Amino acid sequence: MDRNCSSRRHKHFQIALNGWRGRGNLASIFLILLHSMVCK
Amino acid sequence: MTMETALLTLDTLAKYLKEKEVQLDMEENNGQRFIRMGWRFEMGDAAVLVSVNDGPNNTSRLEVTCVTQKTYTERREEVVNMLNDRNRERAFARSIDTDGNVWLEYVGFYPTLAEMPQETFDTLFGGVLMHFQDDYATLEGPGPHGPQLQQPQA
Repeated sequence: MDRNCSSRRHKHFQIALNGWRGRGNLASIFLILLHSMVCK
Repeated sequence: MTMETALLTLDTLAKYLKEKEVQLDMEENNGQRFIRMGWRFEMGDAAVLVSVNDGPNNTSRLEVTCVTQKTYTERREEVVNMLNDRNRERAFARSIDTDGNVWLEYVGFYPTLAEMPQETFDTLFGGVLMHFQDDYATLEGPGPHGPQLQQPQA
């Protein structure tokens, strides 16, 4: 197991988040959609 | 006619998400590819990252990571205690980073190119988002216990 894996991963993600601008997927609608599909 | 079996790759997961009209970007950082999405919750925005990486011994590591756009630096001690309690009581791993952003992460190990049907991924991804939404609501809630939301299953 690579013990440095997690810290590298966090660094990569942290870099990726710098200047991030979400395009705004609506979580509430998506979760209702998923729920209806999983529970059909 | 034979049904094509969907395997666990980043492209498979991107396809599943796009089929639900989710807006996403494919990113690469030091050779590590991942999906980046912006999600809008009632209590604030968040980034959600998905990655699949091959590891040793024919294993692949699937990660789903949610990060609040809001920061909680000034409430750090309170937030750390809350996240610690939730980590013990619920599924997934929560933390606060040095910038005050709160993270919720799922990490799963799978055989490389394991089958990953859409319904399996939907259940997993929906579960991660629901837990994150509940954490976010509690962080932004008016009282120590936050608004009354339906408790996600651990």
